[in-house]
Amino acid sequence: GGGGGGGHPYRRSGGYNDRRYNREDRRGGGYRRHQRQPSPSREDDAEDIEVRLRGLIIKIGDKISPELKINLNKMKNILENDYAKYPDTVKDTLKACVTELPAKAPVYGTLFGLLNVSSHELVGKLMYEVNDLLKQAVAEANWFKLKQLLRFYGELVNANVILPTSYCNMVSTFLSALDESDRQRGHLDSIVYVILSTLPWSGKELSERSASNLDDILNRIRTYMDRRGQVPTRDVLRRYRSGSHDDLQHDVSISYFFFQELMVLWNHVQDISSKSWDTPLLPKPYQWFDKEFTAVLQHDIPSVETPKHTDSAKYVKAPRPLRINVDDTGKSLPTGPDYDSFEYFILQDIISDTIHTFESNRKECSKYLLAIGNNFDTDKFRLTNQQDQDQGESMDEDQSGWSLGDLLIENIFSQMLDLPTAPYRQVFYTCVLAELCRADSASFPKALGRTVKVIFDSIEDMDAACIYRFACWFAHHLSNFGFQWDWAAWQDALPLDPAHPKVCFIRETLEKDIRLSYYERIKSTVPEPFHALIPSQPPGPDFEYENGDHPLHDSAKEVINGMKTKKSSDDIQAILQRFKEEQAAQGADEQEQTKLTHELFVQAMLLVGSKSFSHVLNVVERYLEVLRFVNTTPEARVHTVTVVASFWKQNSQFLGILLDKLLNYRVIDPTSVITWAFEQQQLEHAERSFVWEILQNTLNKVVTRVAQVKAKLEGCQQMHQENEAKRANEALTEMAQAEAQQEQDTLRLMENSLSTVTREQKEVFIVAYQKFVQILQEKLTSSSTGSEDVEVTWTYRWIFGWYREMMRLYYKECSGFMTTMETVIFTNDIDDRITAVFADVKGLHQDETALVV
Amino acid sequence: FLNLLAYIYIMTSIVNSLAVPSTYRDQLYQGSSNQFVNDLTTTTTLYVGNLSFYTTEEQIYELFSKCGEIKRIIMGLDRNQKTPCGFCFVEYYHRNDALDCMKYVNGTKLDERVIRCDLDPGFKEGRQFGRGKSGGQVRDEYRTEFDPGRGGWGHRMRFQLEREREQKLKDTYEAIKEIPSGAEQYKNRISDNSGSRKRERDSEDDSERKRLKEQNPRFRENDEDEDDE
Repeated sequence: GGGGGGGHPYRRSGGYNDRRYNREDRRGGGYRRHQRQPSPSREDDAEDIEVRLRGLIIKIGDKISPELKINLNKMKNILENDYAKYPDTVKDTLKACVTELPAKAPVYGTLFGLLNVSSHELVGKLMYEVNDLLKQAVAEANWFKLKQLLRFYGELVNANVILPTSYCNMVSTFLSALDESDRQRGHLDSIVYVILSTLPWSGKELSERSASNLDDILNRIRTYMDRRGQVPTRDVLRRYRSGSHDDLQHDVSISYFFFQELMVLWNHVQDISSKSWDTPLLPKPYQWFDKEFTAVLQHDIPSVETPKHTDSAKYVKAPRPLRINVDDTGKSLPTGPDYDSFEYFILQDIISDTIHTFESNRKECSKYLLAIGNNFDTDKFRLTNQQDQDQGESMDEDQSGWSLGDLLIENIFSQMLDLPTAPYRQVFYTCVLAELCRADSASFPKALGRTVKVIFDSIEDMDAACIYRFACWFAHHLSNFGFQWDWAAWQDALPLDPAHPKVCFIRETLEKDIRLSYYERIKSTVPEPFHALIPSQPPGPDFEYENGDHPLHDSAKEVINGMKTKKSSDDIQAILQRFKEEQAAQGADEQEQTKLTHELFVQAMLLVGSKSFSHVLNVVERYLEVLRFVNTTPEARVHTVTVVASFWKQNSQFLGILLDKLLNYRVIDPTSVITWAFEQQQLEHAERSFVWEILQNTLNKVVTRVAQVKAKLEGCQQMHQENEAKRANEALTEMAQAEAQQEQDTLRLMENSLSTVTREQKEVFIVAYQKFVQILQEKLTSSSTGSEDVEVTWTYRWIFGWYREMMRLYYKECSGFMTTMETVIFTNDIDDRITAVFADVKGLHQDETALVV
Repeated sequence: FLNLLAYIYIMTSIVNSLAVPSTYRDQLYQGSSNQFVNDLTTTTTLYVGNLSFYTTEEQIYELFSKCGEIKRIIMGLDRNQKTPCGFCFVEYYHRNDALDCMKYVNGTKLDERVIRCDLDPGFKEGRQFGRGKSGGQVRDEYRTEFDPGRGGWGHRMRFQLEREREQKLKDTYEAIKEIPSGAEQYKNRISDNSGSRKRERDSEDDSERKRLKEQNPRFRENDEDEDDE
């Protein structure tokens, strides 16, 4: 049911707070907060009352229902009575509610309205706080908060707490930035989005009471939208090759695909405005109190400008929908609002705002997401089982109406698969979806399973990196739910080409699950025919000299024993030297000797470290000196990568961890990993993700390194500036001069350091992209002469897919040497299909800095 | 004090971030309350509990690396048997990654068990051993219910598999006697550390070095600046 009960329901004694203090379980009870020992003191009691008061304010209007009218009045009475006693609790809670519960803006707006009827002064105090939030949001350039507040101010118009003209003036001031030329498009789009997405909430009142102001706002936006024009969609950001689920609109006249989120929103707003701002979905609790609200005094709101553009600004934009639930012709299924409707936009916007707000608490996030069905004035959502049970009706799921689960799932997937990167870590989406499954176990897991199957059916059209993300998510998800899945449903995929995305998706899922669990367990969870996609052996090491007949078996044993008995690096070096001499005596040339010695040492080290990650770190740390000694040349480093890869060929995880750590220990370098990744042997298995995963990790390291040095330099620069300012106000002493000199020296060293790591970054990217282009070009050239159409082979598609991923993922890092890339890599003789990706990536960078003239 | 922090946070937002430490405090923690709070507000280490005895470091690695690069994992061992006894420490390079773990991984499943994570003031030699009478964790001394991953029983098939794992572990497990320090974060081979060696006044680096030294007696002073060229 609804929120605030009758009278003073929160004054019950005990019960509300969970005071159990479980000693056994106290370690890391992640969801428990400030536990207090039970104490009967009066002070504690007062605190208890405040906690309940807070709870009531938060819960009011959780469900839009006729009872809400009564509850709002009760809540008003409570606040009126208790504000004097607990002003901070009331103020702080309401401040949090109006910025953190997007769907309930109408409820809190109406509550302010009711309070304003009985106590203009009290609302004056509350408005002081809300206005303060607005100023704060502007000062912090917090666009997200600004949007939440704009929506709430709109509701204050509805409840007649502020005048429509005040609101319109505020919006007009925001829009003033649009009148200037040569401003950042991202900045201006952000302003327009914040206004357009919140305007409909109060559109009706504004149109009835301040029509000319509203028209003015719309006209200014129209002028801007015309000036701004269409923004081309970068093909490289498509999650589906055909663009079918990506909400793309194809404009044949200019043969470009458009993501038109802002344009779509603008069309919606124009459409609603032409229909006298009728928005049946949006709740209008203020209408219950129309009479009361007419004879009241309004409050002023401050005039603020939108935050100025900065390079580090975090702009907001409309979420990008992923059209999963469509029929064969691309039309929306009746299980959800039409993708092209304003309803879909509003729900999507609220879902996205809720996810953003509750990112740090997945439990609350899932709770508020599931509550969205109750936050709107609609009976279109189908009832869930739980509600059926409450009403004592049948247990069967009502199959008609919108499925909130489907809507949530496609919006979460849409974020998870967003390109070039998702807003949050992938694991965030896993944990939210898992939480949703637990919170609504009757219908959510079914809906999720259904969606997974829908996505699977068209997975061959999906972007390579998206397939990878999807498999990683699915494997992790299954590991949270006992590895249960209807594998039999996908049996038809088994006879397909082993590199077919469907087969790859299943195989990758199982591989990741084996990593999270263990071989025998995962094997036991899939039907027999799927065993073909699992290795025949549990992942183990592959020690070259295992066999007693191997000519180097005994030598290897000696090195291993030396390592096991923790002989010193010098002792090991001596053994290796002796071995090398033996090889020389047997006629091996210098190159051969070095190669064999190197291999013997690395193999032995890997075997000694094969028990676990810690074991291998230990042995690497102990013999780091030897390891670096044998890895001084680029060839040796590639050789080390090759030996590690062959030793762990059955365990891609161990291989990944080891290369990662060997990079950190500076035994190998990024170029050696890149060289290895593009060797024929690896490319033959382009459909497997582990090599790409390793490549990406390697590039990430280089990028992170630059970011770290840069951050450090910036910190020092700032400190230097502050100190300089301080010194300018003080007498110039020898001490101060020395200090200044030292700071400058440090800065210079750091600048050198930054230029070194930036140079390395450039070199590494050039090598990696060169390799990509070379192999793709080779494949395309060979196909134009041969009969096979290479573009349709899966191997080509996988390599091309990962090429796209690596290009778009680092477009910012590469923006500084686009010209070099153009002259060195993307030359005229390179196939258009390859250079098109580069052109797109250049476009991404341009989009970010584009100005509206 | 921590309660107070949490309380203030609650008042200004209705979102209760999960990236906060629990109220647990290691009884053997050597240091003042202030130091403890300070350690917790800067730590990159997590305590992880309720693991199955048979969960391997690699499984832990696979899950926890979803929140960032792991520096090292220290398995909790039975004091007497020197076999894993259901807990570990995971050390990241960056604090934010540890916090993300509190948000996204704490309370989810690993090896089909709900695991618990907590921010930890940092690993100290000796803490890898169980403190129960019989060598394992104290909680297992008093546990009465059966637990398949900790020596009890579950589904017949799972039981069988867990038995095989137990056997395998007993046959092959070698306790880690020396805890690796973990690699420093990636630095390019082209020497870029000529500056850092001379940067004696860089207090941040110094305190980091001191911290590492305190944390691990085997931390080598020059590890960071070692170069092979």
